[in-house]
Amino acid sequence: MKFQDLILALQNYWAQQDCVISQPYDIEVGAGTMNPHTFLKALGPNPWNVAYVEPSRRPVDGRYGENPFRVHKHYQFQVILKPSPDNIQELYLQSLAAMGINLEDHDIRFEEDNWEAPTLGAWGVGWQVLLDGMEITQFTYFQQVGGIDTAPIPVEITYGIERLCMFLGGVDNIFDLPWSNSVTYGDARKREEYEFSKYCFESADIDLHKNMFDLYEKEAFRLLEENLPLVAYDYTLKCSHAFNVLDARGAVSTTQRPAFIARVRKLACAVAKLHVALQEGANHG
Amino acid sequence: MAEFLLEIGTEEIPARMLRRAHKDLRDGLEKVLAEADLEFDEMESLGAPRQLVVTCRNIQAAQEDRVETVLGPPVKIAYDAAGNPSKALQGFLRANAGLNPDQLFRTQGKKGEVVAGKLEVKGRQTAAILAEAIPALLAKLHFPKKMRWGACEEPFIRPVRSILALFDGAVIPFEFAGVAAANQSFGHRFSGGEAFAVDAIDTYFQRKAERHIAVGHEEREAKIQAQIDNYLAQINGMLVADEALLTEVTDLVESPFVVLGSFDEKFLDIPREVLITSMREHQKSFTVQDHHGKLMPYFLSVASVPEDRKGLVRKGNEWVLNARLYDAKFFWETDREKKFEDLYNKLDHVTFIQELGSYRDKADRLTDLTAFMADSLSLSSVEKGQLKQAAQHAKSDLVSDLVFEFAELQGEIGGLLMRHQGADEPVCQAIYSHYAPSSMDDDLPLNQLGCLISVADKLDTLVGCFAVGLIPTGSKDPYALRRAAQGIIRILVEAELPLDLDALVAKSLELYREKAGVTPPENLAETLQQFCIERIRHYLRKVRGFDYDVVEGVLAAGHARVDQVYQRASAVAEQQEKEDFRGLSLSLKRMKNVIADESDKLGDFDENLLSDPAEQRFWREYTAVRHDIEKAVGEARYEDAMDLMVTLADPAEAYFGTDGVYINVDEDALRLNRKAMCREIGLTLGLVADISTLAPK
Repeated sequence: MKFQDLILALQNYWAQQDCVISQPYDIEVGAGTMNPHTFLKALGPNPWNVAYVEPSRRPVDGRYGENPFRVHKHYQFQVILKPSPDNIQELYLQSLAAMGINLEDHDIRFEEDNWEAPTLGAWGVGWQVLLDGMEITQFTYFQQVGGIDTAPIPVEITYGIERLCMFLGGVDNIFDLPWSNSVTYGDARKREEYEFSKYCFESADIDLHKNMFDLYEKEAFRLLEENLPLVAYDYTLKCSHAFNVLDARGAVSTTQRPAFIARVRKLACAVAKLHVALQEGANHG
Repeated sequence: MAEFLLEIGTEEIPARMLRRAHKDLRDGLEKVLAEADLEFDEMESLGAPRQLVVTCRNIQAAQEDRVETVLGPPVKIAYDAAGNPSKALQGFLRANAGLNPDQLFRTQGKKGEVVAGKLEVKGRQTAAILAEAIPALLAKLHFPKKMRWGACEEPFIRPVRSILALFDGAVIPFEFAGVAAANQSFGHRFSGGEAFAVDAIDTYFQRKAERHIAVGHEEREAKIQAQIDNYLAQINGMLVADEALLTEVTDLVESPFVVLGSFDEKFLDIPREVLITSMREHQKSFTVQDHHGKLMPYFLSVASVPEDRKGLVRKGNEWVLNARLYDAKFFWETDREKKFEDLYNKLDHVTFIQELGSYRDKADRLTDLTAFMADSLSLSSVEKGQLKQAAQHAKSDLVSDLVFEFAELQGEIGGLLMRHQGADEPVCQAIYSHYAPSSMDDDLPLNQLGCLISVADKLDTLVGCFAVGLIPTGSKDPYALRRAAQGIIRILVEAELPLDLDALVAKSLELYREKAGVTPPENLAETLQQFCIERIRHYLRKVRGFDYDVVEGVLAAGHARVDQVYQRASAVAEQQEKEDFRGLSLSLKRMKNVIADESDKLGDFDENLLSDPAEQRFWREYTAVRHDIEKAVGEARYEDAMDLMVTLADPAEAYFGTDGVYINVDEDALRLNRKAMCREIGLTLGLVADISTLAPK
């Protein structure tokens, strides 16, 4: 199965379930959860169903394009359904069938894995889904987002699509995955993996990033003052990415780490709070 | 009698919570029935990942009808002047419609005589009682973590998707978490077909089995075990036993099917510990070894499928495991090239505990603390060198890739890497095992050096945390300090290490003061002492099973040499039942009472003032054994010491008994001298334990 066919199959399937087929956010994020179509839309009473691919950057996972399983940027396929439907597990399993997996031929298990994103003040309860022992999906009922209890409860389904594609095709090296008929994942991305690994581990300007973190943070707080939480959120994401680069660069000691995380979380929670307040105002007005 | 069947259908319940969940549900139901005065046979509870099940095969269908006495208003206000029922009595009759006004009688209430009547109460149907009680019970069941889902307001262990509740075949009508009870159950998710109707317990289990769900964990475990044994016979291998893993996988599957997979033999170069952990933690797979204990390139995984028709489950698991092992091999090969000196230096960036510096600081303290131990143990210079190396590098593996990946292998990885780099075997073993013992049942470190590093490591954490106020309170002990102290005590006792705990604490405090710039509060040594004594007490009582009196008596004679505390307790416990010992104990108790009031006035004892033959004898016999007792105690021959002490039971009895010496004479010199003699003897006889507290009650 080609990488793009997998994406198309998932998009088509979830479009049929009345999801908005959204697009990646245009700021670096570490996971699809950080896209405002999840982080902010998960809050508040209004129903919301969405699905999208999210390129997710994890600088510390970079391996210069040399490791067959680990990359600094991978693609997540993210689905949010709020409120979580009663037949959500069935819907999810049918999405696997839509990818061509014959469910009766495989062992599919839901094993406890409670997800938590400390920088977002978010946590949930759920499982990792295993297909014949391979972790293919994170399945989470959000209990709290941005420090706010969710009501109703959204469910988040995050597929790791490279791994899924490798597994289904029996491909042993991520860079050998066929993306289209003529282009492999390696053709499209290998050089990028090398350059970004090199940058994050060796070349990123530490002082500049520390500076940027401070500036982004300051701007975010200023924007909150001006009742512009959506814009403040962009700057929160920029803070988060700057922190991730510093972390990969070895510039964050274990003692400083909790403080950085707390600063991002503080922003994320403030954004969430203000966003919900403005939304409530709009609902009542 | 009737039968009862309840199945709460949910999404996958975490394996670690499953057994407790259905057991609690059963206990709750039994309590409901007992409180309703219903007769029933013991209930059975079972569970698989998506269902909690409780059954009862014999249960009373309804409560007995019964007659209750109901009390009404006081007699004096129950009737008007004409003798007709007053408003109060009329109200009472209205409220208890079943009462016959002609059969009222008078009885004594709390505040005098009242009007009363007999009321016939119809027993309720058990099904009705259950319909009311089950939702309330489900709502208050305790789980380690509850969750909410959808728009449902009712939290539960996982989303509730179906409820089967039958009383003698009829649905018990109730609703919980938005789901109405019905007569429907379900089979295996992919090969179990549609939901199906149930009318009785027997058919329920039969249909579940037909639809590939084994509801009971015993059944599943037996199936897994049988399949594993079958494969082992095929490949002539043995299982690397893992009870915890077996329990976990048993509760992860509904239809246990074991697959035997293999992996590339080149991965057998990876250390055994890493291979086993890789398979267990990531894949929940069992490892296989040959009859010599050498690992074989096979694994056993437990799937939740009726069968692996096309072999895809096996193939998939093999693919994943090979990828995992590829990673592990890569980490092992990278890590083993890293110089220990570099790893040690990198520890500077790893925080131990915020206020207590880095792991390199900790490694340095361990080096100093173990050097202090080595001196007091008079280790050879070779041993000292090895101990120093082990202490300095005990924590170095924390910055290895393997420990980053498999945190539970900390220590073991360090030992393996050290061995690969040619360090002395005692050093490797010490580093390998210095986190032990991790629990009460866990083995001690592999060798003496390991024991010393382990004690130093745990003590450093304990003292450091106390020094900056991270002291456990109640059930909160985030740094596991109780367990650390427990480990220290176990090692000191069981490895028979002649180390003074108070001196070690003092040394550790000194290191924190001088090297970490930590200023511990003034009385910290005492606080720590009390904390440790409490753990010694716990160890002797709960783990070693000594009586309260023995433990207290022994601790009264000192605690710092923990190895000796245990030996002393054993010696005392040995004596405790003997007639003479009890006599001696009683005498010493009297003696203690006698001298207590003037203990501060006592001067030196003067043998020449002895006049009574009984006291002369007591002193004579005491001086005859005194030296031997002290010698025996000095050489830690506590049983010998106790045997010698017990020889004094007789003269002591003669001295303190009814016909003995009267101590409290008026003449000061004589009285105080007698008490001084008691004090002298008491000191010697208290060397092993405060025997006076061990008198029979």
